[in-house]
Amino acid sequence: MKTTMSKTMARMAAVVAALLTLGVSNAAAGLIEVKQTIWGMDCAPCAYGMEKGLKKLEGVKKVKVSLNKGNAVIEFAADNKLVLADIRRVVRDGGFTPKEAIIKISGTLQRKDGELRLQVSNADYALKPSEKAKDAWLRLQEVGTDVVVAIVGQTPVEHDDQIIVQEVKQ
Amino acid sequence: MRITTADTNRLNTCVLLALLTLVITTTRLHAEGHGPAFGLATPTLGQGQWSSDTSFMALSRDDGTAFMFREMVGYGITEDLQGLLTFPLSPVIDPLKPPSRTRMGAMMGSMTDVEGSLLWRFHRQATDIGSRFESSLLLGGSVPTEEKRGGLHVGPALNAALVTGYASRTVYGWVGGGYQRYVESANDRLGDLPYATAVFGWRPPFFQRDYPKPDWRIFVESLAEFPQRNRSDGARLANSGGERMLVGPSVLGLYGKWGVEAGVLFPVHQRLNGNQPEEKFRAKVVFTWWF
Repeated sequence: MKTTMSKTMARMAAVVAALLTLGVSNAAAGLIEVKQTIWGMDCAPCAYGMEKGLKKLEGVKKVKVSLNKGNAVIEFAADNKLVLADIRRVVRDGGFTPKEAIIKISGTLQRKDGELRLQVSNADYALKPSEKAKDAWLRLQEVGTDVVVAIVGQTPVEHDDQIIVQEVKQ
Repeated sequence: MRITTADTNRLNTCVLLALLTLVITTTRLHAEGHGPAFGLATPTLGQGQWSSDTSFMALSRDDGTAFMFREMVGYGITEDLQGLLTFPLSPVIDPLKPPSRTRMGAMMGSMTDVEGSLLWRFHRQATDIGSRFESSLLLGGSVPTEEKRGGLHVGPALNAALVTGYASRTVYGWVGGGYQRYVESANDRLGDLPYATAVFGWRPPFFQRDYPKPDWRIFVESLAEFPQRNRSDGARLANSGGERMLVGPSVLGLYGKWGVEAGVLFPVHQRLNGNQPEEKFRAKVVFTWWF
């Protein structure tokens, strides 16, 4: 009797888990917020041009440019199809130099060739551990694949498709 | 000086043209320009961006003061290559005879010429947040709007200049030099014009507040010109050419979608050939927009 109940409970849990997974898999995936460091931007018109250029991108909800901090903080609409390379292209087109970015992104966790990757609607990012956030990396290892997670991490300027994981939210 | 009805009409036309330009451009304007009022500077527009600089200029000499409205339109072909077209918006008011051999703004061309240029920023090195070293090359050609200038036939001209400098949130500095050469027209030729500019800019701490607060900076500008003698029928003309150096302050204010700049230069050295009248000052007010 006890065994039968356990099996039934386990099956129900599996179904619920599957439904939950399906549910979150359909949730919005993509960039949520980007804080892009910009070098060489020295004046108000530069900031205005940057703000204008970033706002032109379809899927950008809000832009705040800071000259003193040398960055642009971009918030994205839920259904955006943008990738970090789009942001950095606008920075370069403005005549400035993009450096590292802190990105908040939502996507489906995948494991390919032993490497953790984050799949979003039209791109995927390689996930890398950070020395300063080992707990977040360990937590990420425990999360199964095909699960939607939100990740906060740093993206080096040389690799638009790489995230050094700092924080994980499920 | 007697003001005639024709002068009044001409002045009215100038004011109307300037106002019209202002109205047209303010519908979608945005300020650009880190630049000095008179000297050479390196920055180029972002790719696909347009700018409009509407200037009111004055040049005063012992024998009078000439005024003019002039327009410069810029377009960012790429982030490091900018096209420029600059042209007079009005005839010269109270023209000086003969006019001084000068470019009223190093990037703007001579007072009555229509000039097209390319500004290529061939070197750019961002060194930190808000700062960078860069160097640019300016190449242009111009055509005169009048057949004769100072009694001489005037032809098209070529201009080339090189400028290098540093921009940051606190200080700016540019040094550059150029050379303008007119081609011969009906056996006359205006003298070549070698010139050099140096600009130092400073943004006081009070004006280092973050965007979108107003952005102000002050410059000290210097300009050295070494006009060569004009030629007519192969002979060098005595009352032409020489050298002069001018120094003065300018201030640039930028806020949101517009910018305004004013500057004045005073001669600190003049050695002009023959009995040419000496300069007293040059002044310029520029309204700048992006669209």
